[in-house]
Amino acid sequence: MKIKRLQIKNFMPYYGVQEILFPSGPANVCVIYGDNMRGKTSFLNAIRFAFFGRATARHLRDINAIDLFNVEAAEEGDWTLGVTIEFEHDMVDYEVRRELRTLAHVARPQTKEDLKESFFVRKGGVPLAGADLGFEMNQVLPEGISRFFLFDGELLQEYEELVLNPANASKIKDSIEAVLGVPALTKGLAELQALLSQAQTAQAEDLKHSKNLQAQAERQITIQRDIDSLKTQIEKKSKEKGSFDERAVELQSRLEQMSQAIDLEKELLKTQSDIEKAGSTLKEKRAHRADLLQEGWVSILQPRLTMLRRDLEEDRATLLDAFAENANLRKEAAELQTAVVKGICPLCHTELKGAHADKVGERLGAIEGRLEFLEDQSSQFGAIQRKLDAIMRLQGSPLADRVITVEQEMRAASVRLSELGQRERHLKAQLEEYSGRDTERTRAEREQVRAVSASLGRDIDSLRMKLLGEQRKLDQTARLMSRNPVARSQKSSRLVALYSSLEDIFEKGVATLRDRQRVRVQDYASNAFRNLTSEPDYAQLEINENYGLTILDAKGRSVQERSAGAEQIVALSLIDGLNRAGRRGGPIVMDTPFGRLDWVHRANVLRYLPEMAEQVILLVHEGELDPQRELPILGPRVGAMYRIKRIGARHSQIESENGDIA
Amino acid sequence: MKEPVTVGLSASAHAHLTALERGGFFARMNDAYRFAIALGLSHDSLDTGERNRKTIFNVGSLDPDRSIYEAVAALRTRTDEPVYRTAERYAEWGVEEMIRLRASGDIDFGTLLKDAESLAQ
Repeated sequence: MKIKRLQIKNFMPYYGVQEILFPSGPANVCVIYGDNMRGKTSFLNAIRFAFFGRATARHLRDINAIDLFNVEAAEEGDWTLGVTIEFEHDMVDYEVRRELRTLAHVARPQTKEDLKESFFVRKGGVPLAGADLGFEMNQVLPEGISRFFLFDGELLQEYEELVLNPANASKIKDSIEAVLGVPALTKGLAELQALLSQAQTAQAEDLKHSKNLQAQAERQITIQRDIDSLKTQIEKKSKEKGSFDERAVELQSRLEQMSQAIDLEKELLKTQSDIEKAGSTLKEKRAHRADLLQEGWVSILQPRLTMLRRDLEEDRATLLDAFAENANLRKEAAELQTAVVKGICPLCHTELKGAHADKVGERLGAIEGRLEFLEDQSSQFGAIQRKLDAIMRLQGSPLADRVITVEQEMRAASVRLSELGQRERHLKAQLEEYSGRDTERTRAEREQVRAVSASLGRDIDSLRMKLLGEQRKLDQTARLMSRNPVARSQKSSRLVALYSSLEDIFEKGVATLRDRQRVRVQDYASNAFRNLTSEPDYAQLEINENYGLTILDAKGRSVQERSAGAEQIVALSLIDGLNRAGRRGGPIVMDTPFGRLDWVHRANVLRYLPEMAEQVILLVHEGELDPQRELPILGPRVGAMYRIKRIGARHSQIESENGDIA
Repeated sequence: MKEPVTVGLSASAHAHLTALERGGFFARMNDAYRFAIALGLSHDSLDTGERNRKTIFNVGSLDPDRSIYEAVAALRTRTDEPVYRTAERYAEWGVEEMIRLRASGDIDFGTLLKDAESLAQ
């Protein structure tokens, strides 16, 4: 199976219609980056919702259907959500689409009863309906194996618990056996046991009228009644225990949320302290700018002062030229006056008369006129010089670069302040959800519920022991009666014999299947482990009857001390082993899988990932998969890259970053 | 012409000047007033209306070295009134201009000054 396209509409943080195309071919890894709380787990839930009609929170609790709607879209009155997945399976194209909307008469849904769910499947373009639909989906992707396909950090944690303490891992053991196909036989065994019980009852009824066998038959009937009563009690108590266990999980989850609230409070305090610091920085920078601006008025006048200065300097230069001209003209005027008085030409020393005398007179008149004009001009020189002196006093040092630097720092502080403010509002909104919850009371209730559940568990164990004893007695009695020739002729006795033999065969079959599957898982997991571990002395993994794994060194000795990173590697190896032993192939969608791994192990996992499945979809944040340092390890195997971007607290947008793929 | 001994602004411009000082744009009101005069002078834009102006500063405290007087006297185009009266008109315009520039949040003084410095080259 290979997912080709996913379309999400108004699902959890994904507002409106958003689409992702998945890569095909040898570049089979799709990386989706998203910071915490942006919607990585919601993305995983969108796939889970499309296939199985449910989305899960921690401890596999179902999320209320109303909480699946995008809040912004709902506030706008759009109460429709949907997820469509197109995939290929055995060379046939499928389309799965699941939608939720309010019932026609409901404006704002309060419970899931106010909603209508629609589920459509197309196989090779043909719509499927009724029983075909369920059968087909179960063939393609049974929900029992979905945990190996949609893989979150919690699953990894459960596997680590299994690796650490297999005795306490019955729940995950059931999941493992489901993926390995063991229930096919265990369900058959349970059905045979029910048939055997019916046959034994019929046998007792048949034989109670026989003189020789009457006492045994009556005994058998009594035992059978006791067995039925014990089974009823076990069933009742198991149901009761189940509801207490569910309540304990709910309380545990609430306590974890409360512990998250403590973390949130710490983060809020730190954010508020950062806001104070950023506010002080902004205030300091403003004060610094205000200080610089004391002289700002001079700077801003410089263009006009410069222009005025240039004009004045030009005027002053003209005047200086005029002063020189003045001196020359005065000299010439004096010479001409002397010439006029003496009547002798100053140039040719001949007598001045007629036209010649007129010419000299004209020149003298022109010079005197010019001298008068220059006299007026020289009186302005002082004023020009005074203005120039004033302008020179108004020269300031350049200020712009210093003010620009401070303003850049102010803007940075302002952006930081705004981001921190937004973070503070977000944290407060989250904390509001936790307000009014009493940790102590919840913890006390959880302990009480756990105690009742444990007590019921002990009662059930004791009833089971009794049941086992009664069943042995019944078998013994039934066997004794079956030896009797009268009984042997009865059909009911022959059925008892047949069902007993079949029960033996099935019991052996279950044990054989478990053993074989364990060996297969062990081999696959060991192979994965050798690829993933950085310790050359670790040779393989050994699996026990509860699917717990032990690391063996080259000499076959078990390694007792294991680091947290090693536990995660073992858990990943087990998941790979189970995936290979239990499925015919298909994609793996992993949410935040790198947790506590160091750089070397992360690199090993990255190298091995493309081999783990036909298609790998990784939902990661940059802290666990550095785009510069670690992403290149996946190299050409990365076929598509997306980023979940924050638009608002309840609105995330998936954007393609495929341009960045080498 | 006899120069006045005090200068001021209209009530509205005075309120804006106070806001500029309280908003941390200027350390003191007289810094803001001087900048307003210079801004008006740099654009040669002044308030031409005849309005009641409330006294805010003594000329002695606003312009102790008479540099404002000299700048206005050198650059003003209107010469039919005392220099400090013209300065008031420039200040009135300059304050309103700063309020207009502030509408987008902050006043980009850096760019204002940079433009002025490059024009003065």
